[in-house]
Amino acid sequence: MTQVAPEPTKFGHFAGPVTRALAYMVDVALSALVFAATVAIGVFLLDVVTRVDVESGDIPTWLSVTAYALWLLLYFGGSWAASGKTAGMALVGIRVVARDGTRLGPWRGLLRAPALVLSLLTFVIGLIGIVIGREHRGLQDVLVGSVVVYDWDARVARLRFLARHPSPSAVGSADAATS
Amino acid sequence: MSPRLPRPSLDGVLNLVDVDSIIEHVDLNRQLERIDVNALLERIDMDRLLDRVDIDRLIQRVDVNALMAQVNVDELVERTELGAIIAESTSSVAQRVLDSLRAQTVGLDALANRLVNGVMRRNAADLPAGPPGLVQ
Repeated sequence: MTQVAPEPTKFGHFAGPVTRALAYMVDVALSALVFAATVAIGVFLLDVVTRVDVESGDIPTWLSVTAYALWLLLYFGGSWAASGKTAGMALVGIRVVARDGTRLGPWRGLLRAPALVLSLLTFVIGLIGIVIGREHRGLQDVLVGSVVVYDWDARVARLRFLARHPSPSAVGSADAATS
Repeated sequence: MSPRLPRPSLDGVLNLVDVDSIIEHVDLNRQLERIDVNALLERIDMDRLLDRVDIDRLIQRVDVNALMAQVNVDELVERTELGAIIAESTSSVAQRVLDSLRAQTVGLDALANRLVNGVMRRNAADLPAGPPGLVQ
């Protein structure tokens, strides 16, 4: 057998800006969808139980905005506190951990949500660290002492791919060995 | 009465003999052909022999890293049942899509990092790969 360099695993490495941006977009879309569905179901139930005909346009804007902001804080903060990752992060294979690599903890996970709001309000200044920083830390990471890492093993994924799509030479060798 | 001669010692005799020269004259292959190896092996008590082997010490002397470096894992997975087992355990379409998506985004991350490192004139090898608790 020939000697080959091992496939890089990527597990535990700092996650880059593209993956984090994609996770964020998925989370925003998913949380908005869940919020809209919850409001629609709530209005429907209110209509059924109380016979009060409520239109979505009847809800004051300040109430909608406040409720959505609270929902976002709950969605992001709750996810980070519970498991260190949101649904979007789980999809792209990243997670939030403490700077030394240990679990972030529920309180810091919760606090990371308002810290993210602060980071988004400063836009470039708060997020530029994710692109150019040595550890890809945004303002929210600096404030709560966190980093985002890959939670996905590229080497295992490659082995899965090879197992599903063996090259013709390998198939021939395997057939010859079994016959 | 004849004079008493000193008795020659065995070491003295052997010192006079050129052992190397004798060995050169011996046809070892011919001698080995006369040995019935099967009969010899039958006389060996393998259990008793293995009991005398210190397996732990033997394993400690094996350089596992050097051994594994010789193994082409890709080829091994492709050729053996191991690949089929891995495929069976994680053959869902969702897993394939996830693997593909993640591989793409990791590749784009690497591209972005290369661009930034180039602009900032820093060596990627000098940067930490991950938190000390997760990456050595």
